[in-house]
Amino acid sequence: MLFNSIQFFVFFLAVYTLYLALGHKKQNLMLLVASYVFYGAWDWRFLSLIAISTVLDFVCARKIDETEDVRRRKLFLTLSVAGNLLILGFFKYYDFFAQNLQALLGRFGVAADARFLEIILPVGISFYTFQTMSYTIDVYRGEMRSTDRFLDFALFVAFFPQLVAGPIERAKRLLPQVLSPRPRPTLQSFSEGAFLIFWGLFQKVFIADNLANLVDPVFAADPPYHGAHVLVALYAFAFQILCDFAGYSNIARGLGRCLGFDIMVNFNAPYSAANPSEFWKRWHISLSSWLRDYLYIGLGGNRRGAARTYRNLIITMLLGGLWHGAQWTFILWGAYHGALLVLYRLARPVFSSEPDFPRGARAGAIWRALRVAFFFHLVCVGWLIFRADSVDQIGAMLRALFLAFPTDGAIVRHYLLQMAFFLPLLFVVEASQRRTGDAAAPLRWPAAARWALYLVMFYSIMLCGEFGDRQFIYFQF
Amino acid sequence: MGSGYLATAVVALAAFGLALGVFLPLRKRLHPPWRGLGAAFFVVVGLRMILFWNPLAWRAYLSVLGIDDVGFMPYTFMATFQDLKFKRDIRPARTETLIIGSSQVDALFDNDVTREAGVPVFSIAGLGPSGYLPYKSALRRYNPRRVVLYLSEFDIGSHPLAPSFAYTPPSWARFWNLYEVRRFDKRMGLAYQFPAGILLADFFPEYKYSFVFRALLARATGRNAAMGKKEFKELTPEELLAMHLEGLENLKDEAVPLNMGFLEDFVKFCGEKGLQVIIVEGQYHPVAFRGENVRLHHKMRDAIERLCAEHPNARYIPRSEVYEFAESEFVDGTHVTKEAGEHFTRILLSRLKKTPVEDEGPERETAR
Repeated sequence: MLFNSIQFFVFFLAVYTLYLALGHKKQNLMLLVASYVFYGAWDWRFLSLIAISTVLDFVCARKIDETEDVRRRKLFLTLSVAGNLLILGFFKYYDFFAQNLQALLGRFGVAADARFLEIILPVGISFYTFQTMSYTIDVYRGEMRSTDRFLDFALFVAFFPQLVAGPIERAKRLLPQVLSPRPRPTLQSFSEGAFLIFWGLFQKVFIADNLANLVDPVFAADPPYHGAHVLVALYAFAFQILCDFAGYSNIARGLGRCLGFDIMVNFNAPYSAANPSEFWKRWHISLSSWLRDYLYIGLGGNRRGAARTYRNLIITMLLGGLWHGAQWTFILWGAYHGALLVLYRLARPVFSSEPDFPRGARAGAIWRALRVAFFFHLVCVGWLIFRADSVDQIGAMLRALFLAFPTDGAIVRHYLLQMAFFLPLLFVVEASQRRTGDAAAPLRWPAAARWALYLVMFYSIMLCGEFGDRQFIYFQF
Repeated sequence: MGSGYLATAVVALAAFGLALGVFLPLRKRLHPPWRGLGAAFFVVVGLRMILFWNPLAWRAYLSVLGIDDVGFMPYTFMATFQDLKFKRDIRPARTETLIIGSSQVDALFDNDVTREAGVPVFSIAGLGPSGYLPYKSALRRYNPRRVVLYLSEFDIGSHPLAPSFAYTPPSWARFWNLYEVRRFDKRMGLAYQFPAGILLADFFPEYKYSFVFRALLARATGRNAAMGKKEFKELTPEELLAMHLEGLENLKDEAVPLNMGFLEDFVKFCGEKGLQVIIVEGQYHPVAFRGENVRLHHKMRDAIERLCAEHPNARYIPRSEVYEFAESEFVDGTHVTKEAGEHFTRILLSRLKKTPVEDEGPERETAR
């Protein structure tokens, strides 16, 4: 059941109607059932995995909370983390590691007959596994108390708006919203929620899926590639993946808002970042902050000297890449961003200080714009690694990008004109959101501008929206 | 422009003006969300009038876009839609014969012979039995005494829902046919897909006719030149033939009862309105007329003959009584050359002349 489908619209309408009619406890029960129905619509068999994670973390957190014995607390934390990672590793990474091990042994002349599972990846497994793990870790760290309300905890794990593609909520933030009665939905909260849903749909159906039509042919083609084609396809992909994922996050936040939940912001104008550190504070915030809090800091963070900091950054980003999928391209993408972070730390004295321009603010803005543009291109190289179907394709496209630039102008012109058609509204709304720090900023625009925006969004979706059954990119993770 | 369209346009504009006249003075008294919603409503209706509900817009779309921009089926729809929507009269002049069908019908009958004889042809690529009743507005537009259908197992044995069905006007018949097709898909184990797009199209013409704007955008940004899209008219006859023969090899036994059901609904409807239905046996490339298709042909023929026996307003004319096409007269798997079409039309019209429409009793009303 995709967010951008009529089925989901009917489903949510029914859920919302029931929600308004019920009291807090029954609301939670109904939302839990709805969440399981929502997930079961993909493949009901994988509901058992959510159930296992739920029971495991509920029990482990209770046990951790019940004792002061450090060894017992560690034991249950290990059980929780290992159990979750085992499920994740088995379903997501087993074939990848088996395949690579077989290839490696083959190189040394050892014939290994690995058995591949070839099972479908349970949708959203990486998201809810990380979400539920954050709960036991926070209880272990003493940052929150465990709950004794199993069904409410089950709802925290399976809450349908953000179940399959995030944002990866923290127990500290979401669980209290589940446990205590939420404010009754008001016209204000409904308007904000509806706007976020509408904006998310616009990002997905109008921008992302249309840009996909530009990107896919370039990556589906066989080499040799033309550098300029690759470059414009990368520009298009940069905005495709942003609008695809941010679109999903906005819909999730909007659905949550309508139901009285406050789901965390996942994207904050990431292409306005001027350096890798800033980028990761703006891109997929729920994952990057998860990795920072539970992995990077766990490894020691930046507390033990420069070399250890760089090592920790590389490990964190490598694992962050691997989180996206069992492919070398994702691992390389993680390594690339790790390297960017390390290089940035090394070069920070140069990049973070503004040259002493004579005309102050304006020159500073130009200097920042140049840094943003430069860093955007570095991000695009990362997207090449991320989007490529194989390591060979990465090599071929990078070669084309730097060594075979002359190209057929018709394609470049077509791509740039299409992007000029699809993207302006994104820039306008993002600028407003960035300026005010409010995702629903357009709701505060003057009435005429606001309704003009709604109409433009409506007509854009209806007249030029891509209504195929293209899934959200991050579903595969 | 027809008087029917003009009358509707005048009434609609008057209603729009009146509603706007009421809204504008009252708007300041309205609560802001209602004020905005009201203004948005008028903008949307106004834009619909400009973009979809006036003949000039469609003439412009047709003059700018070609088959290669929008695709074959939408293009034939655009061409027919104009005629159907904007040229209808309040009391349309009576026509003796109306020919209805797919692009096969267009290739066969849209020629000087029918034009000289004053026989209108209503054709949309892919239009088959599932679309006949939903397109009953064609009967209102042309007010015929008899309807000619051209049907072969290519129509009766194909999946009952051609992509062009998406453009049919909203009606109960359309919903019913859609429901029947979904049941058929389920029986056949075909991928079930909720026809959300088709339902959405009924409420939002913006979505229904979005193919026009997508094509305009593609044209404006030079998509065809950039992507090296092979133009439809550039396909060689061999490629076209191969494409059609592939389709002709996938006809389904199971589709026959469903398509015959749709055909019977249409024949019944025509019977109630006092219209005669002539079903002419259709033909396709002789190379594909073999094996399973021959068996399917007999099955379909038996079913049509039974239908005609049960409904006195239906007649069947086998190909042997008109003209049988040779291989050389086909330009592809299903469409014939202009000359062959004219030849066939001449024979059929003279055959129809010999069988005038019987007096069906009291003065017949315009089909509604």
